[in-house]
Amino acid sequence: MNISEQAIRDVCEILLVSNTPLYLYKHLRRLQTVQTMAKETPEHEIASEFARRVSLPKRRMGDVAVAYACLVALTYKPQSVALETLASLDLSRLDWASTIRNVFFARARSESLQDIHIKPPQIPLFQLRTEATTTSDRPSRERPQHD
Amino acid sequence: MDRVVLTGQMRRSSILTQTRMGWDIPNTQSFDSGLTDQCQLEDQKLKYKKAEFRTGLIPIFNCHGLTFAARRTAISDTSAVRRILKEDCYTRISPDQVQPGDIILYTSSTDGDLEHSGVVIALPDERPLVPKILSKWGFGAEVLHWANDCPYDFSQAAYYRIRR
Repeated sequence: MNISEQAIRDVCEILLVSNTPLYLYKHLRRLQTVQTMAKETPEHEIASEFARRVSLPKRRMGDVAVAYACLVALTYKPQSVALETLASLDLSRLDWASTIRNVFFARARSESLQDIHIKPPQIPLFQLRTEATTTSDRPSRERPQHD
Repeated sequence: MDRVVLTGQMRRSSILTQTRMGWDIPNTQSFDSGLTDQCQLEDQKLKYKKAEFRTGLIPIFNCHGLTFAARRTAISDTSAVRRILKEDCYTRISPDQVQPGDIILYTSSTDGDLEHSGVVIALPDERPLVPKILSKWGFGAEVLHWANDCPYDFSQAAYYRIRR
């Protein structure tokens, strides 16, 4: 995978000032470099690059930063692909990797729940109007008739 | 409990540090040798020319570790920072009440996330009264900087002081 020197500098700049995993996750996601990586590179290549960088015997800050960038780039993949690929990675060699993965998992879960809860019922407006005007006029079938 | 984890060249540990009320503050000391690449510091110095970088890169503690744990460790869980504020009796003060020794918290204006903290060390003689801060920038250096001259969102910054 080809990553330019400028791209590495960009991700290093964010990593260096990150005080929390959430800050790192949010700011890497906004980075053009990460979005381009997600768009142009298949998930298996990103995952391989992540594994290679974290297992280098003497890694530099650029390696750590690119590993985090790979992790965050995977979160741009279609949700099922992202969940599966992230679950398959060994995150034990990178301090905040598992926290970042958990943040993504939690957000993916809440987005799925939102999809279920906020979807409006698919009833055409004219049907609602018709029911509102007619129900009071016609006798209910369930209501017992007292003559 | 084993408090030290060794994974390749990365070594992590946590120490016992508590609030006044005796709550164990979650923390991690990182000894990742990959995070001490001093040449990255030069880029930061070029970008923030008015800031004074008083150390090299020190991954062991972060900003909240400097502000709330005496530089001994990193506190990365922001909910822990909010609990520290409560249990250590911090109270919010207005910007015109700020004095050296108070602390500043930087909160993201987009999502309310607590992104950074530092200690007020001086006030300017003239308005605007933007204080000078000592803080730790992530894995990087300790920096003396004006409150609005740093990589963090100053628009929602708030000041706190120990109440008693």
